[in-house]
Amino acid sequence: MGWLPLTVLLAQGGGKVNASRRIIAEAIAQRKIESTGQAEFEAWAERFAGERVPALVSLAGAPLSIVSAYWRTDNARVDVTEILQDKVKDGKLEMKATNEAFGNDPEYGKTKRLEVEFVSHGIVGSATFAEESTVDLPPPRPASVAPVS
Amino acid sequence: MQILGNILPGFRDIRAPIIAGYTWLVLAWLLIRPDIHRRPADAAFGSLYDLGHDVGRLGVAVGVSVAAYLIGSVSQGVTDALATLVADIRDPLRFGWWPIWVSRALPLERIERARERADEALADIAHGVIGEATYRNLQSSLSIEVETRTNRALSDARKELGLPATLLVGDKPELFAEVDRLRSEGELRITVTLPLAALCTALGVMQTNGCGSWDGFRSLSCSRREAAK
Repeated sequence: MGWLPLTVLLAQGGGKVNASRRIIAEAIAQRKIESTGQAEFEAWAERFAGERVPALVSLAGAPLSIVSAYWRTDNARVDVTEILQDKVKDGKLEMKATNEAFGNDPEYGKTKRLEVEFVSHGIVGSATFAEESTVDLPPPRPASVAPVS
Repeated sequence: MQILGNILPGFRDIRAPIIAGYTWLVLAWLLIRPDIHRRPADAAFGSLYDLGHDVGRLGVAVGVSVAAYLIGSVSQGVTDALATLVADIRDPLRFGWWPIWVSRALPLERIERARERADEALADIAHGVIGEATYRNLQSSLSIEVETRTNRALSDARKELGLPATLLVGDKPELFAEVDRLRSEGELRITVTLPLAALCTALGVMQTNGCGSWDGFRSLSCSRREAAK
């Protein structure tokens, strides 16, 4: 029925496409051609190693540290990291997410939310709280908190 | 020579779909066996028959080639979709050779180096600074972060390799010639496999069963043959 020659043809075709990709891969590795995705990843890795890891290590010893916090809408946001950090008492944070608590309204008339990234005993987590809800950190089971990607 | 150099990539682009299309048309010819010496009674096919006579053999050849190209383009799309589908299925036994014809070559070196830099950073900076338990927690959290970002970089790299050669290495003539030749030869082989498989199957069935075993095919071809006698 000729299935063997067809399989060989298919494998040969795949081999040639792979070979063409290997040439491009080598050219990218040798920086003969530019790869936006890889340059972005390298820049991310540099920032990660140079900024993010040192920042997290400096905060990781405490029972609860706020890495970043934004009181925001879809269009506007204000940085409330310091306000939240100041409200951490005995390794816990309990407060209401309101304009009054943060002393700021990023967009009048719109529903706000609080986005927080925190470190608790080395575990990096993130959480989002709706306006008027109670902010309670760290969560009861910190291990289940999804780390920030 | 320069003109040939400019035409060649374009010719390579249409070669795979046009050959696949011709193969499908040959298969259709074998299955339908149209009587080209008699005008079909059907209005639409009769009109096409008249058109064929009016434009002459060259016109018919051009029309058939355009039809072959269109059919082949659809066939190539189907083959690509099948290849993507198969590529998305993970190797169930992790042998690493499944499936051999699906392209997996990726430019990994730079991604691996950058990843190692990210992985090493934590050990370099945190070693001895924070307690062991905290260090393990932080390492676990950050490794997920690195993994997620690495997977995105790999996905970007895979997409990038699928871009047309003109976009990737268009300004590097020495690379472009080799990449374009290998890629178009590979795509030609992959694209023609589907119509060739169909053609082989049809020929196999026809040879096994005389004038054919498919009902529609037999009724068409056998009755025509008998009518001719």
